[in-house]
Amino acid sequence: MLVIIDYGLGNLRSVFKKFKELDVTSIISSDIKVIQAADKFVLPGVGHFKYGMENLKKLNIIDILNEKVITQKTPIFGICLGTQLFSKHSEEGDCEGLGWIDSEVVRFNVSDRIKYKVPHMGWNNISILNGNILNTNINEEENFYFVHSYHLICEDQSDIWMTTKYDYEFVSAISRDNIFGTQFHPEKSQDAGLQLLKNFVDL
Amino acid sequence: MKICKMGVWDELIPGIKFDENGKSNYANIQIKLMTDYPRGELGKNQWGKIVQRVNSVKKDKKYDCIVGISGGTDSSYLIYLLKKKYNLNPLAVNLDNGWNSEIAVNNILTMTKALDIDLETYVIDYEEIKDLMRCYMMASLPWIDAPTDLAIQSILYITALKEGVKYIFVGNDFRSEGKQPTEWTYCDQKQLYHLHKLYGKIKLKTFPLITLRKLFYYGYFKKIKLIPAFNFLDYQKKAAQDFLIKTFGWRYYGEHHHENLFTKFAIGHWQYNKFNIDKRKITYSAQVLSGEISREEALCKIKNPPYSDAELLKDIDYILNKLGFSKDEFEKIWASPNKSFRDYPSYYPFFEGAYRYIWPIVSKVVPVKPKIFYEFDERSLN
Amino acid sequence: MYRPRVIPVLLLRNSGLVKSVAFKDYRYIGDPINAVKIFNDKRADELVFLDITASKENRLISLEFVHKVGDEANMPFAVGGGIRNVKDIRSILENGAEKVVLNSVAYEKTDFIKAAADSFGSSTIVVCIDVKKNLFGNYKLVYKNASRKIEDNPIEFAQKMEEYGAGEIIIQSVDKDGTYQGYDLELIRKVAESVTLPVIGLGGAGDYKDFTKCIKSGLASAVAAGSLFVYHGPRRAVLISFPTKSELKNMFE
Repeated sequence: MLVIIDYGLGNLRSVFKKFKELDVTSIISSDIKVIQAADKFVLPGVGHFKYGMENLKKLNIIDILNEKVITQKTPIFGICLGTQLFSKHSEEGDCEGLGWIDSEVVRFNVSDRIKYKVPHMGWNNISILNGNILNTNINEEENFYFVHSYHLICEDQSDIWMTTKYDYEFVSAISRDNIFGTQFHPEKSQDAGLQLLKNFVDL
Repeated sequence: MKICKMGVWDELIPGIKFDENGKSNYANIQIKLMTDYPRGELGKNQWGKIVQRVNSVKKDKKYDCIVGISGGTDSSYLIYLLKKKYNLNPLAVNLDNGWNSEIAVNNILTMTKALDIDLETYVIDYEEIKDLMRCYMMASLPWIDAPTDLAIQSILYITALKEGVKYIFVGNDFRSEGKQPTEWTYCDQKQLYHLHKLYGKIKLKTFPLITLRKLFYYGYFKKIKLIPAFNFLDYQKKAAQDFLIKTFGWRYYGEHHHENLFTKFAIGHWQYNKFNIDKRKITYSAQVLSGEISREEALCKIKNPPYSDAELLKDIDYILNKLGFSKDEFEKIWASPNKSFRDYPSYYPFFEGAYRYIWPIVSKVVPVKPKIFYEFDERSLN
Repeated sequence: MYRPRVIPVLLLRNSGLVKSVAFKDYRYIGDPINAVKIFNDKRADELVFLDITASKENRLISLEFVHKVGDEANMPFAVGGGIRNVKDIRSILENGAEKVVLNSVAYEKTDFIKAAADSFGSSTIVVCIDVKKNLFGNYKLVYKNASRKIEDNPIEFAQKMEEYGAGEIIIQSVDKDGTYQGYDLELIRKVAESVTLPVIGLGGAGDYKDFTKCIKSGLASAVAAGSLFVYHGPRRAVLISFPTKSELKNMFE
């Protein structure tokens, strides 16, 4: 069962709808039992890093997620804030993250604040740095939908799946074993995004 | 199952009769139409005269004629012919009933832009037409797209009057459409108002509907004529589609009328599955007689449903949502006994009784003999 | 390469879409759900729905409507109309919208912007600033569908919104609305240069060249339009359109 983790942040319905379009049944939940039984996860999210971590803590699901993702190697796909939460720490709220990926979340540090408005909001393409099994039919010419003011910096270059240019190249997707995450929103990225989700579903 | 030797009309067609050679009365209707409007040289002459008259009555008006446009093959090809081959300056008119597909909208845009033709749209108040569509469904009638049909007719005349134009051209083509049995398609204003009184939830404040009297007035006194141009002009659907695609980047949408989702639902599911009506038996038979497809091909195509189960499953939630029906409500409506247009008041009894006598007058209003009159000749509707 | 967003703005009155000229002369455009379906097929970037009578009538945009759009839309969409409090925003987001558009409340209860941004994240909060030129050619702000005005300077107000945590600003010229005369590039540029937030230009787009100008000269981050996407031809026939992929690429190169 594919579980979309509901920790109170993000447009879960959009993600759910996309899986429905792919003829995949998914369930939106924060129930420990449901998470326990899952064979795949999606961690979506839009909003403040600190609130995200607080909500996860309040729901008491961090332990079970650690068990499922790190120990049992259950595949997980992060979206936007979800991906950021995989990191060790974020500047937003000076807060510790889940620590699954050796990365830091920082605010965009652009050279021209009028030319490069923050949040980075709109369509942008990606460059694939490291191949992985989810790259099937993913085209570097395709645009994906971004909306974020913070981005990841990865300590370990091999964790970087894709980068994107907005004043400078930043990490737009990460992957490490069973952990995948994009800074952009595949559920809002029309056909290209749907393909990516399909690849995750087909794992 | 007995099937007409000249087409694919079968026993299930209302009022069908077969002669000793296996030819049906529906084949006779089609043959008569083809004889009266033979196209070819005679058709060209007849059309030439029409164009002459269009030019002579034009005077200082901006447009020569009005053309109904839907984004479908017939109307798209028609406006091309009118503008490019006959040098007319039509005003294209589209009715938006809230169900136009993106392909239809795009085709309309492509054609009017490429041909530099002015476009007028009439957007029906969606709440009103939704109410009417619901009325027809709750009345359990087969032809639930009636409100749109009646609105289109009204809008064409109203626009013609407003623009001071005397000629309305439509892309209806009996050679590819045939004559559908009246039981499957009949509708008129009297019945619409009655059904609305029975089941309507909101008041009809802006719905465009002209009365029969007004229609007669427009035709007889204002001399506005509605002419199906393909009665006279050579036209082959498949060739036209290929031409439009190659020349204008026009896009094909699937079956006849599938450019509008509600019409697709009305014909492909409501009529097909609830009433066991397959309109393709008529359209394919007409095409067999006019040589567009072979009888074998037609028989083969009819074996498959017009609206695949997979497609219907994808569309049905959207359709019910748009109509404001819950799944339960729809199931109830679906299960209710099928009715016919005869079960509700209409002008029909008058037409059926008087058509022979009124034809001399009607012919002044509608220059082309209505297909229903051909049907009256060949069969009784009891 | 980063491509600015191109955003159709659809106005809602009762349950139907309407279009205006200078916020007057409203014409019925049709069923909003069919419009969403067509924009889906055309791969539109984003949609904005504004209920134009909600504020005046002291009510919220219909949540049932938001839910219906949420069910149908494949792209992110923002919704505005009568939003007054955090509960309103939560309901709208729960029903499927990505963002909310605030207008009247930004003038009447400015502190609210901060509360909203804190609760839901800045990127969810869009403030729409409607601007009209007065007799002397000076800009003044209007709200409640241009029925009320205040003499604040739009630039200062935009900066205030940034300070309070808004994520995006739509700058709309009431005078240019529905006129096809082109954006008020001077106004858009002045605002875009004074804030570090994305600024979306709205009002007056006549053709796709105006989009290019809005980004290059107006320094906007995204372009929005109403009439251009719903009308066609000299008689303003109602036909939904949206640039193709290649048109979008060429527009901003």
